[in-house]
Amino acid sequence: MMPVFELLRDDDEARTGNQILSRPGRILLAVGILGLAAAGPIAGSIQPFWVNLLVRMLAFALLALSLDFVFGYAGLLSFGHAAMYGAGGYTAALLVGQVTPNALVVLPASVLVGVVVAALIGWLSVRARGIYFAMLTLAFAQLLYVVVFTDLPATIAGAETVTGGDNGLYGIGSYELAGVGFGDPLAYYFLTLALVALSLAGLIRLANSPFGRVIQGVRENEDRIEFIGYNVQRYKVIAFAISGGFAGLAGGLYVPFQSVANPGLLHWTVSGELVVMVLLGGMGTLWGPMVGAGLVVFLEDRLGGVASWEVILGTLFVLVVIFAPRGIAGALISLRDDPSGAVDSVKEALKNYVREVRD
Amino acid sequence: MSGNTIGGPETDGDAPSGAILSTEGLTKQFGPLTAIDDVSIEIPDGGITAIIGPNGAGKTTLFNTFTGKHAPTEGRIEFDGQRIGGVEPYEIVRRGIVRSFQITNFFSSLTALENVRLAAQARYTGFGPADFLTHHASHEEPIADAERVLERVGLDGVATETASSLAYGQRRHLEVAIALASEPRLLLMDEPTAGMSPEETNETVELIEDIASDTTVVIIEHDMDIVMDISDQIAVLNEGKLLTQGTPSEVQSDERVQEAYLRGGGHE
Amino acid sequence: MIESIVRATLLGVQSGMILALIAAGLTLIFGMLDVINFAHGALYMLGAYFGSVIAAELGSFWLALLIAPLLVGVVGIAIEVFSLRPLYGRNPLYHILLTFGFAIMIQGAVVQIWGGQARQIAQPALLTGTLSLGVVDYPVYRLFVLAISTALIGGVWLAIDRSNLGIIMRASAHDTEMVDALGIDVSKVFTGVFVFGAVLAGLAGVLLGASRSVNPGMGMGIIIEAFVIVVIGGLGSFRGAVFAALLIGLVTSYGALIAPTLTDLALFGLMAIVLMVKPNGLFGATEAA
Repeated sequence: MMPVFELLRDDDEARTGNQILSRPGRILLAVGILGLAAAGPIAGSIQPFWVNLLVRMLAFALLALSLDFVFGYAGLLSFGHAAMYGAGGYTAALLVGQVTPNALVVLPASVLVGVVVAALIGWLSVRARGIYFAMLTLAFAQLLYVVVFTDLPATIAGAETVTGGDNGLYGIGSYELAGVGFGDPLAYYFLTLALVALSLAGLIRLANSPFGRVIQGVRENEDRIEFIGYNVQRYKVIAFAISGGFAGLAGGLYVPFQSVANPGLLHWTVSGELVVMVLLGGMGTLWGPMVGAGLVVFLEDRLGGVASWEVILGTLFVLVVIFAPRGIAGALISLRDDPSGAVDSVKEALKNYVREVRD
Repeated sequence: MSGNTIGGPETDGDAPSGAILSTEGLTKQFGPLTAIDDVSIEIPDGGITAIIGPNGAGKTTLFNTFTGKHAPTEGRIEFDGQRIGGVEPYEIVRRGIVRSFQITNFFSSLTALENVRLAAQARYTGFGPADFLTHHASHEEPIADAERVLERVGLDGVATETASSLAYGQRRHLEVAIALASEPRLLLMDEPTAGMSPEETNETVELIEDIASDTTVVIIEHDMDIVMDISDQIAVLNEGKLLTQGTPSEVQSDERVQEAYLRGGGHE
Repeated sequence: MIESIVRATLLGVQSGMILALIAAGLTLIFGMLDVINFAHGALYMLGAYFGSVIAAELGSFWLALLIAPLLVGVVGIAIEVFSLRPLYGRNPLYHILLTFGFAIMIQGAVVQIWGGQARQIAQPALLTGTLSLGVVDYPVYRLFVLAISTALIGGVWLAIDRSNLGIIMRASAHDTEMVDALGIDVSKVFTGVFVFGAVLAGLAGVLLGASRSVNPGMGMGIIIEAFVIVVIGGLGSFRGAVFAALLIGLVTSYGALIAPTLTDLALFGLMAIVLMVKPNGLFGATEAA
């Protein structure tokens, strides 16, 4: 809880401006987390399945948070985050299945694997800019997908199976921590909530740290940053690696809960949907994409039976990209800053749109 | 304020002592285009050196080789006795060569203070635990440095304003402030008075002279009045070659310079 | 043995040519509009679906081949005018996001309208059966696909190289302001290029829809392959796209004979290497300083 308390203390935001999450925002966030903590048992008592859904929402929220750190905050569009997510997930599956269900061993391992995969991909990719970087991350992620799908490690090591090929690994048990089992969904929910909250606190602190400010500068003006004395490539790789660690953690939380690890975790469509979640939620705000992810997972669950779910999501996404690129968080922030101007800015946006189209 | 001598005893044109940055046979080619051709120039330590020449003479490319943006195709560059050809830009900044830009090139959605603080932070920050885990505002030095620099350029009043909301003249000064925050030994200023009103120009000239009191300054400038007024040394570039280098009076009376300008269609 | 090789070669060239139809549109759209059209695979899929409907309703493959691509072109107009145009000033990353959104939307719409079952476009009577080519007996339809796609690619190649339109297109890619100043409506050129790419993709969809199946996975499946091709060939280069498409087509075809698993690895690996070493691709311009 200490990091959370630390966040609530006042910082000198007035002088330097532009920091992630002002004091009122942090209080709201703390309230939100407490609310979620309460929501779990309540939802569970109404319908046990809701807890299951909540855990999945949290796992994806963490994944979206990790992507926002590099995309929204550092400006690096990654279309390959599923690689770290899947790598962390498979690590957890292999360790829990073969070695130990001790969360203190497995979860850090998932994080570490995520960091390593991201560091490697990042190191190879960061010289490229913009869409070329995005395409590179896509290529590497698909490479990893193929490796897992075809169980290349097994072929190389001469073993019968490592990743389980296109079937994946199943029957994965749940975590244990200090003798306490987390097989019960509600217990797992609290574990997940605690880790996600800590991750958010950690990333907020990172975002406001000297390192984080440089990263933000990279987003604002990558050329200039180098000419004021920063080794941009190194900063980008490190940021990507950090992001990968949290993505790996998300995978490590998701897989034992679902008891299954399959290659689909690494497919580029997962990376793509993740980008959708981040943009919908509001890139660069860190908390926005988490809300976006939760929302998408929730709606997908509720509306997934209705075959037009993808049409709704796709249409919504297109509209957001055109009219509200700052997403839900952006809209909320604008509303808070200038409640009366909301209607006007909508009208303005529509007018601009019509003008652009006619041109 | 506008002496023609470099601080210290008079040096004749050939003596290499007192040069903070020198190049020898510097050439930069972009494919078939030769932007700089066999330039051997010396920037004296201290004072103001101006680089002039018609458009397309290679002045900005020259700056770009000094800052490490381009590696030389041929030739050497020496700064403070060390070779810097091919060194990464961020390392060159650390060694003390900093540049301000012709087109304002800052961090638009950050505040003026943050723009400068970021530049100042580069001298203190690394990749240690403190750099990742502490709040940036808990480090006093970059903030104090930034506030001092803003005051020096006259922007302390707008420190908390967003950079993109500043007026044109203020933006140019912010440009300079960002460069100053890196505490350069050599400051390269690319057309610092471009597009300014006479009043703003005077302010800027005063600022440049103030900076020159403790930093070596090299400016690319088209306004000849300013150049003649404040420079200690002038180097003339034309079509990638160094035409001549000398004191303002020497350069002014050099026929080749006059010819280059008339022919090359440079500004007056 | 020889038979397999000849077969694989024919198949490789044929699929290469079809991929070229798709990749050509994709690369031209990037070269002109600076847009990575993630929806290109979906447009290809739409061509197949429209084709299957027309073929079923009107009983004619040829009508499907004619009309379906035009319908896809109409969809292309809608996408370009109503969503890409307002976005041209913005950071190019938004274009990828936008077209990705359309890819999802179209994907969902296809399943919604036509269900998840695979469909077929019936091959025309004229083109059924096989032709004896000495060493192999090869399906007539596939030869037809090979012929028509080669002709189309050849035609586009000539058009871009020789015609006024081609010159305008290339000029617009380099300097939109200049072209604008010459009195040519650049936004119409942009729309035209996008629609053209869409039509080519739709055409490919109909052609392939009659030899393979028409299913909702087609779009997402082909777009990645198209990206690999376009990156390797060079984003924006028509020649590069054609060359790379043929390369990929042949590699995949031969690879299926030798080591199917390695093929995918090789493709993505090659894509990554090209992006790292020569981001402008094999046929792209070398970076100036």
